[in-house]
Amino acid sequence: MKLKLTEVENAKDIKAASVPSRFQLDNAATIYPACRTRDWNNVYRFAIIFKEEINPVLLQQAVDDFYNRLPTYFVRLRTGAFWYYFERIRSSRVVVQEDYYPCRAVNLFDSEKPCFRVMYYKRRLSLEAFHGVADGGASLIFIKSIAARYLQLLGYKIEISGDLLNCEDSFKESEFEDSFKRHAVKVKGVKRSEVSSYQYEADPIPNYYKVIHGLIPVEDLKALSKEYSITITEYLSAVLLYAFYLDAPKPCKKPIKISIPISLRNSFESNSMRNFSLYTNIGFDATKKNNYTFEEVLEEIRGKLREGMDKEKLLKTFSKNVGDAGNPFVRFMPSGIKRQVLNLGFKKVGQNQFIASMTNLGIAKMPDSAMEHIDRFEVLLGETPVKHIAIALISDGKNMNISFTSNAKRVDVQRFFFTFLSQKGARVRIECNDKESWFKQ
Amino acid sequence: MRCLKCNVDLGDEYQLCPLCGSQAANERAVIEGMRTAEYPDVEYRPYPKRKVLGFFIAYLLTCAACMAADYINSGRLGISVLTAFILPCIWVLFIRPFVVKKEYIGSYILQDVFFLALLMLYISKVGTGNFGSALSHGIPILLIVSEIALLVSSLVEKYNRVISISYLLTGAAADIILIVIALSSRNVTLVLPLAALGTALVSLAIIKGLASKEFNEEIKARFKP
Repeated sequence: MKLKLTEVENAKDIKAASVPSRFQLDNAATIYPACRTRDWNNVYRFAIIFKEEINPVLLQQAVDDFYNRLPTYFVRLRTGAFWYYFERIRSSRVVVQEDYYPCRAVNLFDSEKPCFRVMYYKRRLSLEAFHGVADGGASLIFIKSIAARYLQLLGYKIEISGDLLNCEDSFKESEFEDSFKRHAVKVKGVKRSEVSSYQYEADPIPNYYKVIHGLIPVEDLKALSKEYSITITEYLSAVLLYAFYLDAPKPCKKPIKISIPISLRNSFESNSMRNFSLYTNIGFDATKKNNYTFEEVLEEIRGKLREGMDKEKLLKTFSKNVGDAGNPFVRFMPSGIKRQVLNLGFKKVGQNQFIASMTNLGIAKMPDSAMEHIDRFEVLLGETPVKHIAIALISDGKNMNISFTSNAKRVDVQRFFFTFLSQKGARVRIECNDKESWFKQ
Repeated sequence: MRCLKCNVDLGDEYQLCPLCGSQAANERAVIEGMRTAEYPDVEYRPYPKRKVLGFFIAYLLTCAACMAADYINSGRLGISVLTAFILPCIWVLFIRPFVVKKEYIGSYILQDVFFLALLMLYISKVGTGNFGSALSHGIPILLIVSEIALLVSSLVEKYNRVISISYLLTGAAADIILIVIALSSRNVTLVLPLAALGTALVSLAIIKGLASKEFNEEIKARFKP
């Protein structure tokens, strides 16, 4: 069923007074407008697969109901003299039918549409958001809340509990805060430089996004990781690093490292519905010897993730970022020059430190009354112009959904990753968005 | 369906394995009760090509035509250069922000008043030898029209009220500068700058009356420590 705009309630006025009509980007969001290109910006996707097809009119109504509850999402980007800023917009009309590959760029400067979109296609409800608006942790809460509200509008009794937001509550000021600034301390002598990583080579196709989902029962992954007494994330990181290692030309001239985003909400008290996450790079030095086995890779990275998630280390890293952003020379540099400097730093330094990002959103919990109507969750990371592959994990407690996004046709790393797990005894189900690879030509 | 080579389950719709491309076998899936979550059929669309070259060529041709016409008429090249400068300005300042980027009327007016004022000063200097006519007539009239436009947009659109206050304050500041110049110069008359200031103040009073609550809330939220 196509959405008829005439059936949708008109956009509401801006009422939530606690959020100014124009506000600064948070500390982590600063980089995202700088590294965008004309056709690309940093977009990720959360999706919920329902058991029934989606009614777009009720979905739009569910999104409308969150307009005053989460005003920080209904914003567009504007260019200021010294940096970009967000401006709230009146429209909440963001529901569209999915008609292209996922994670394509969002129009950030549109005066009538916010920096996110909500899409539907058959049973799939997707939220695609520009990373500058909020991080994955906040957006997962947002899409779960939209889904709960949508089910309520369908007439089901859904209890709003846990981290779900009630659209009838008012916006809390603590959800607007830049938690980086609140927790930052004065630090000295923190270095960001790291050895650059080997880079995955592929022939990228512009505006093409291949998604491969691998659905694996959590119990199978638990059994595999238990063999080595490590967490599932560590185990899957090791498999991914090993897949990249096997794909790389030998002998390797550089270490192989992946970037793992970390939600700071677990370590630092925060209710913020904006960005509050950091990342850590883990990997191994593939130059040391020629024939690494999986077990050796696993031993190399054992404990490194826990080390990277150390509270003190994270505090120092983001305090350094906050300190640098507050430097008067940086603050009062005209935005045109600042953008070029940050863009260069992002492409030449930041992106060279790892081969790909792998994020684990953990278990997406919703009340049982809602889970009855939900098949599964998905999360996709959009790739960047310099990274051709990204991996995202989410689980509903029963199955882990591992999603590879790539802007190239070749799937060697994905194939090795999933066949390795199936050889080790995990049950794997594969789904793909590119129907060319489903059927015989 | 299953891929026996990769040892993975596939959906019932699959004939090939997305990982290795081999034929899917009609075997029972190991994980039961799963349904394929379909994606839409998509036709690949490359990014739209940049039209910079076309624009540039069109611009050069237009400039050349303007220059040729001016040279045939007057034998002077100066005004042609001005025409060549004005053409992209019209696009950048008037058409693109309002039609393509859909800027709010306030920021649209602000940048356009700025550049039109510069143009008026230039024309005044070229035409009369001083800035007098631009400062006493052209720019004040421009400001009056802009202030009325801001007032109308605020009356029509509630959301524009708070933003318009800051633009009107900028306009009032420009009016005061014009009055100061008029008081210190014999070439500039005081009537129109005073009328512009009056328009700005009346507009401010009307909008402030309409938007006082929202304005106070925004100021409070913005300057809150």
